[in-house]
Amino acid sequence: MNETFNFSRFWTYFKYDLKQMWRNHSKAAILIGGASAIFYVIWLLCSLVFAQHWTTPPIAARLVILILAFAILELYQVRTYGHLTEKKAGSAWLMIPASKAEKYVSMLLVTLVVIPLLFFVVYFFIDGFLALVDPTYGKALLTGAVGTYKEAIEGLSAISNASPISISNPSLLFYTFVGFCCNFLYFLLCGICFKKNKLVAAIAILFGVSLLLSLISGAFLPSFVNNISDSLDETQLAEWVVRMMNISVAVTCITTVGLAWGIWRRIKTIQH
Amino acid sequence: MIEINNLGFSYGPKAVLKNISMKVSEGNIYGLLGENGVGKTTLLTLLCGLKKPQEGTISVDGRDPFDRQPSLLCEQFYLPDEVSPVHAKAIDFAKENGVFWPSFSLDKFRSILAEFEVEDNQRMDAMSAGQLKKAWISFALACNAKYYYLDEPTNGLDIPSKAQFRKAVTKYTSEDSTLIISTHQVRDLENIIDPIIILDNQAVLVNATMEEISEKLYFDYGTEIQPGALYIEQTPGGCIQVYPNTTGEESKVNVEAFFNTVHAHKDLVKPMFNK
Repeated sequence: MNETFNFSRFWTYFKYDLKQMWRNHSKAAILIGGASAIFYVIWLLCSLVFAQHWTTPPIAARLVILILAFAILELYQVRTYGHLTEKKAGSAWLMIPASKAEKYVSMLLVTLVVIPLLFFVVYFFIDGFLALVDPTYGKALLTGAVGTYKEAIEGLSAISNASPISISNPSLLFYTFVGFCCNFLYFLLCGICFKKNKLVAAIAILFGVSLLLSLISGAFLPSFVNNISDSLDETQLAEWVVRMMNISVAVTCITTVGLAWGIWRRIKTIQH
Repeated sequence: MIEINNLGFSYGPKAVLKNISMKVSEGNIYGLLGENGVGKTTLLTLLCGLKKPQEGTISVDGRDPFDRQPSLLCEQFYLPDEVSPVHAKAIDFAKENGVFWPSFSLDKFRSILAEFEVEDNQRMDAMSAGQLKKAWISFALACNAKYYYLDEPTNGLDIPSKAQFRKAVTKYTSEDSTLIISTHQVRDLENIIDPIIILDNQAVLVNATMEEISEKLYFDYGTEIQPGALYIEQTPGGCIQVYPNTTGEESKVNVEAFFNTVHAHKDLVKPMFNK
């Protein structure tokens, strides 16, 4: 018997994990995904009550809600596998006859693919449906999102063209994906490490790290930026911006790998 | 075969198990007895791989349980004292989880659950504590595992269910299965457990079969008090006395009286069984 990774056993476990996810967390994911509909109804009711006419939320407010809903989904990752730290449920999970690697891969797939996919499908479906039935609602966010992404690419291309270091379209997509993985894995790791007050602990650490980084960057960055903006021409400045972006991508990648390793270590060493 | 060598485990500065060594042979139903806090649950969780030994080793058929290898996990089942309420019907829970144990039998699960008088389409999160325990016991026994680690399995069961549990254990476990049952309710299980392991603070006091116990100690259920008795317990119809078996005469072992004898005369009884 292959003790490390067996595809047949993994598939059995992954199906099991999906069922557990659906049973325990699909309602929350759908509720968060339904934020656009909830917001639409509240906005409509408020406008009817206070202004006595039919007004739908503007695109900027809808975008803010999308970002907020996605942020809540990120925070929710502390709960997806949070039961692992509970004695009863955690013990039962550890005793399921599947290898650590199979449980780990399944956990990453559920967290990074299945839950976000479920969220986006629900969110964009509801948003698209509202755009279809209410002419005052405006365009569906999905069509707008594609346009916004194109604009971002064009903006980056302008910087990239002016710089000897190039930045490609896939790198932006990759950067977006790695950034989202980093956030999801961070909250997942906090969920399986802390026994109590998981969300508070996760936010407190994030706040502490952000504060530390702000203090460090606040001490050095302003004088550094002033120096280079005075001494560099437009091409050099663009090159510098691209270089900083690449450093940021590298740091995010390293952090993501570190978080993924942390989750693996936790699965390997967890005891009850 | 389970082999434990110089096992040690502590919670912070407090040592719970220290230098424990013993062998658990296949095909027996071991009763793991001991006072509160002597490390019965800790020992079971170490045996099934939920905890990592801090000292010494555990070997289950040559494998380290803390590696949590699938081949070993599908040969064992750990039933904790308090079981998890699952958000599913009992039958769905059994179908979804049973796929991981190659010898799992859904029919067996249904049969045991029926004997416990619990409906298989009942939601587990709506069950009483006793019903939930019965559902988990039914699932455990239906897994047809080789090694069972049962922690206080009769806790929370009503009087008829305790008899049903004894019946299910003898009827639905194979001869090759090894069960280690930790319990305080010795009267619930005394007809099925053999051998008996008695844990004391950090050590194994006794690991002996009923036959060995009967050879070393005599259990007298008469009314006349014997002067050399190690333990005397008054009962409504007389008394139970335990004293060293010097004549070789056989007697029925009373597990509770045996436990109390060992507990009261550790220094005397321990060497008897460690020869």
